[in-house]
Amino acid sequence: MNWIGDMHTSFTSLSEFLHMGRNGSYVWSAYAIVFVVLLLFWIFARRNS
Amino acid sequence: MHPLKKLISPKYCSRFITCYQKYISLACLLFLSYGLFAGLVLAPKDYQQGNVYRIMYIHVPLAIGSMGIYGVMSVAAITYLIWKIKIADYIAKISAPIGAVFTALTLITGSIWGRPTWGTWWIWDARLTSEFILLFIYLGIIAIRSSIPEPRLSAHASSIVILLGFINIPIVHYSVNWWNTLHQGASILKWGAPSIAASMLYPLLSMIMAAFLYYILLVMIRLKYELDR
Repeated sequence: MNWIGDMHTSFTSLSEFLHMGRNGSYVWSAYAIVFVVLLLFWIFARRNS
Repeated sequence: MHPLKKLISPKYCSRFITCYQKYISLACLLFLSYGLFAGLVLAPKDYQQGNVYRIMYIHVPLAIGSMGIYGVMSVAAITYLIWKIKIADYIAKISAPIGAVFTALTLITGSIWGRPTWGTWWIWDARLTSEFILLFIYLGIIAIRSSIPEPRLSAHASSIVILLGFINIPIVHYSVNWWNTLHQGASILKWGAPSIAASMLYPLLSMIMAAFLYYILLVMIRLKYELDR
């Protein structure tokens, strides 16, 4: 086991990856909210500087 | 001149930021890229939670950030109150909104994670409630800053409130040990080795570094603005 794992992906297809075992809506909405907010915050900080 | 004294001089500090900002940005992007790829694609499925545990890779860095930023603000507040170093006050001032955003996002992502794992979006459990209080402490500090027009008085008052609010940080951290909570115990910030598999731990550490560097970067941008104006 090293820092890049055993280099095997955890998913066999893209659709499996997107579905995240029927929890895709929870996982992707959490990521989307965080990245949109942090990106907007970053843009806002730069614009006001 | 003493190196520390040199670093806190506004002119040198501004030059230092200009020089190192791009390296911090690059490091942040590298940690983020590795953390996202390894956390979302390479890390194995959790045997109990399945894939929904991958929310951890954003939730935990934000949660650690929400407490860590408050720690930085507390050190800055003490520094300002004792030595009246203006840069320390700027750091405390700039950090408050970033900390508030980190805390709000911690609560939102935790809520999203809680729905499929606990069966509820929210529960007034010790960890969630103390983190919610932390958000209000951040908002209170921001409100004090904006409601007092006199800069020195505003800096003084907010520094005192920051130090008073610090009492909540150990409560947030140890709430899972002190009370019976639905929230799981600490996996990384605890005595002894982390209780998490290495294949899940490395991406998490990388995402924590990315969140830390994001915070540093925002502080640099805003600090340079405050110093140059």
